[in-house]
Amino acid sequence: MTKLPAILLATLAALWGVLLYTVFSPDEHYPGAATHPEQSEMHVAGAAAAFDAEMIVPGAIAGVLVIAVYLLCLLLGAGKNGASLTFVGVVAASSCLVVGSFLAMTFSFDDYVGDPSPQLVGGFPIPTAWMVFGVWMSPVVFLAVYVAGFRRWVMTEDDRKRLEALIAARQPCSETGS
Amino acid sequence: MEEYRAWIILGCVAAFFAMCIAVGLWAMRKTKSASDFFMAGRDLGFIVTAVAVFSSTMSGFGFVGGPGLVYQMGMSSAWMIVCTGLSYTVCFFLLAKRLRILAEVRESISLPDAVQARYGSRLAGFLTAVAILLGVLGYLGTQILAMATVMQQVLAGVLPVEISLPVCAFISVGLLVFYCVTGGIIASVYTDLAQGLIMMIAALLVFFAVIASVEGGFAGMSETILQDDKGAMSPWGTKGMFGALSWYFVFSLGIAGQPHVITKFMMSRKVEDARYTLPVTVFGFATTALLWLGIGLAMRALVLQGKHPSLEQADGAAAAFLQSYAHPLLAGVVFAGLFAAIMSTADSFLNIGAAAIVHDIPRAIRKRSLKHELFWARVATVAIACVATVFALYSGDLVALLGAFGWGTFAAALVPTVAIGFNWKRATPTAACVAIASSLIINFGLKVSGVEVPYSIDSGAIALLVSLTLFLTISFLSPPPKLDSDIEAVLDF
Repeated sequence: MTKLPAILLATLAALWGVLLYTVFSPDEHYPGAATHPEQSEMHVAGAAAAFDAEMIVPGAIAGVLVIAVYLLCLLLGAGKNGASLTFVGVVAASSCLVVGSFLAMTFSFDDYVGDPSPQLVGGFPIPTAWMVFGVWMSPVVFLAVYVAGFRRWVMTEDDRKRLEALIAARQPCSETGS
Repeated sequence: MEEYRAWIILGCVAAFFAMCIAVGLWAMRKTKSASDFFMAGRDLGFIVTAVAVFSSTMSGFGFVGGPGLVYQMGMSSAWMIVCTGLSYTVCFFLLAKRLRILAEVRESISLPDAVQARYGSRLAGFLTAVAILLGVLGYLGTQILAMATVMQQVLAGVLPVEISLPVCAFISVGLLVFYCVTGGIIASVYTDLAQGLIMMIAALLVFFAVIASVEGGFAGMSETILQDDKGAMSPWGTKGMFGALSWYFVFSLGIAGQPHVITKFMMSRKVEDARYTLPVTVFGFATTALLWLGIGLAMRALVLQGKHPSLEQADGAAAAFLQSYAHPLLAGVVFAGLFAAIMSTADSFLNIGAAAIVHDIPRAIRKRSLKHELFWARVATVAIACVATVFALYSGDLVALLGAFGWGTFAAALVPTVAIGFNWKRATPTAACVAIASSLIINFGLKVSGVEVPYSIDSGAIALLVSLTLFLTISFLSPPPKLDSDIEAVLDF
């Protein structure tokens, strides 16, 4: 767990790398959103959607790195209690669901852009359905880990005893701090 | 709007206001010290804490700006919602336990207090308080402006003459100040409880109204929108892939840096409550988010189908839907829910702003708090509300600038300093101060200079990336800090 901040810094450096690569790619001119031709308060993606489809690999890498940042923060927050192999295994397995949903969404976007009559699933186009039912819903497993594993990985019996000892010997803030 | 509809809406809003006054009076009897005023005596049950956490997060922006963004940009802003399951969980892992323990061990009554204790640095505490105060002025200003505008709309339906915006601001801020001054954070969180429940009920009912309003429900909306512009209905919306991902980054990790949200962790009755607080929070936020997505998509589809006239302003999407497609009673509940969303965020900001002025800044400068802190906390609450109201009404673009700057600044300043720093002993006070200062400089610099980040990337995301990188790098390059033994023990949990 002591190496987590270093891994986090390395992940942030990789994120910087992807961003700088994208921004400074000499051949790419991002068209950006435009105002809707008939509705002044609406934007349209227009050609920007096709551009996004071409940039799908850097986008997918950036997204996975962002998710990696969250997961590293989650492990950091779990502290010593989260150092067990079981916890790391559970988090890794749960992460696969989130990352899998994200990648499925990202790569189905490419087909969506090229498809003249996109199919709908659950009321949404396939990549959007992946976002709503996958990327949004899948982190519920982390929530389940927090609730179900609270006594084991968040606040153990030993933690409770240590906290009681700490409170018994506490120092009011008005007497401390520099 | 038909007159009977306007009266029903006014009745619902008046009932909601009466409830806020009653809670303020009840909470006044329970508020006997500064600790009660700022920390609710650290005695909140998990349901109250959970609802206060999600209702503080879902501000008027979510109920008005959210549907407006979906109307304008398609699915882009869904990334601010999609992240919630993961973001709240990460936030709870990072802070729910340690902040609560630190608050008890050091008897901290505010976030800057906790930061000062963690880093043993008055400068870090001072900068945290300054960042909070700047954000509070902007955020509160935009909430007050939103409240006054909605109040003006509500009164316009029943009164023969138009009531001016300053008068509407005076009425709504008067109510807000009444319960915040009398009952402090206790009134704030218990009104949040009622406000959160109203928001959930309103959002659920609106969701069904949304499905019924467009033929084919969500499939009908999707088909209409994607036939017009495929990109709008894609996961990235019209903001594009990198822009949408930058929102995913700043809104998910950023929640752990929102002082009005994470301060609530310090108020719970016991550490173990966090176990049940998290699911209630996530469920509450996800429910209220249905309104955000539902109304935005429905209005975009209805306008594109020619069944509704074009909107003059995207932010009018929610009001237009309620006035045209919702039952009057439902519209009344949602208008009350809208006030609830605005006030539940505004009251939290008033409270942390007052703490910054009467507790944190004096402690950082004079090494001690003010005498008669409870009295001065009430005075400061009134003063902040007055300044923010004047600021909102007369500062022109400056309030919008500070309002927009709020979330990203808090995220960039406090995620490294608090979320990472409270979980990593190696984090240094210098790194914390640099992270806070850089977040202020980058966010203000980019907004004031009007520089557009390529690919519609959110400037708050850039500021967060910079501050996190600086915080980790400086901490690694500095000698390890010497921590007080109790702080070391807290970080060991």
